[in-house]
Amino acid sequence: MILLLALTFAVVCGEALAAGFLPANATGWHTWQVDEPNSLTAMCCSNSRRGDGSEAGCNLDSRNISFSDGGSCAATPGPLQVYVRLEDGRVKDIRMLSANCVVATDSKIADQGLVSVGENIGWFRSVVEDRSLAQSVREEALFALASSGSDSAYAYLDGLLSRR
Amino acid sequence: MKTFIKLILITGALLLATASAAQDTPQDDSEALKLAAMEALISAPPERALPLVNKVLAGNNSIELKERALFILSQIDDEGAQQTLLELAKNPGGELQAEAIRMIGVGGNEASLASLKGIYESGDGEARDAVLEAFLIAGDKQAILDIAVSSEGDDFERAVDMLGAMGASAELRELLSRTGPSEALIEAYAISGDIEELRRMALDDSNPEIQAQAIEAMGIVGGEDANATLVQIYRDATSEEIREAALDGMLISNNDAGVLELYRSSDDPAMKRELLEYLVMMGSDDVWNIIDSALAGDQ
Repeated sequence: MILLLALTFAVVCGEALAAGFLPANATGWHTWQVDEPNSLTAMCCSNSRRGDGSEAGCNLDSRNISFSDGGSCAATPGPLQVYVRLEDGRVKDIRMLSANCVVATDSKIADQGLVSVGENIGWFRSVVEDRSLAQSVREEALFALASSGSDSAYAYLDGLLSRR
Repeated sequence: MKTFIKLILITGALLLATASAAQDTPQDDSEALKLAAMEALISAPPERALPLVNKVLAGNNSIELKERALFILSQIDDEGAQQTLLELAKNPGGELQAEAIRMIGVGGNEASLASLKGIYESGDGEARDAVLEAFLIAGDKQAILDIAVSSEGDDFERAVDMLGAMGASAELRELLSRTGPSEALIEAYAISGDIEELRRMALDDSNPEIQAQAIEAMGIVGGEDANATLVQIYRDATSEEIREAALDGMLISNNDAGVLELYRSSDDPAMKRELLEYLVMMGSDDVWNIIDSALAGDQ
């Protein structure tokens, strides 16, 4: 019983800690940069409908986005910049781009500044575990974890794949 | 009254059962997450992904999860990953053998692809089919040609079908020169769209059976060129079999204009009747014009 309470407490605290850098019930686009200066990405995007390259900017609201870390879509390598679209605190979209990828949206992007690797991984873990979210969003979170260089992300994926 | 209550209870139970079946159970969610996590490993560095993939393959996991693990393995440019794929591909009757073989095709590693020839020779029907699919996926026409040359019966036909599906005209022509004509080859020519080779066979009367098959196969390719040739073959035919093959070819390509042209230029009542029957089978609107003209005494 004590073990169960302890586990519950750990899970609840873990999720609260993970989501702590985002305002409660937030809505709209939010962004943060992962505080991992040695891990760089050139990921950016183009609008396939208009054929825009990364120089022209990446419209986060577009439904016709192609992501790439090579070719004309690529940005200059930079730290990972996470963009998430929330509706009343619920995650609707996730984009992971280079901090050097120029982005635009129809609305304001709320910048949460630097977020530690642990907090970032914790947030993505909480998204994966939230069964109320769309499967596509949870899958995006899994891709974020798999592409991170973090030991804790791989330990989590290992545990997930070993579940009975 | 008791029956009514029973009915309500049964209906309620059925509704509850249906509702619970429609919900995503934790087990379903766990498996869906595992599948998604495995797919996500495509974005992981190989040294990170490989241990997790190997662990899933060695564990007591669903076949679907293991098959996705094989796909990830196929995308990892690492000798160890290729070795694991090959071991599974060589495991006769193993639950993952066929998928491992196909994934070697997806990965396209040349050394692994070369090993598939030995697996084909010693494998059962499922393994041999998987090897052909792997070569199809890898676009390795020469490997399938090599298999076709040394096969017979169903194995030969499957290999030839693959070459047809790949549009491997040059390989099919080489095969013809080495094995001689056959129905399987003619079908493959049709699927690959090799109208030149089919026309050559359709005009060669040294083997009437092969000639008739080639004529019909021209109908599968269709197009202006094939249609004009079929009309000419019909006109020049010296046997009923060849004439009928030309008509069947026109039926397959739905060339009602060609059949109508032949109908109008024919003076033979038996031929006109047969041509009219084909136009009816083809659902040609011209049939009504012909009937109108016949009633008016024009034709």
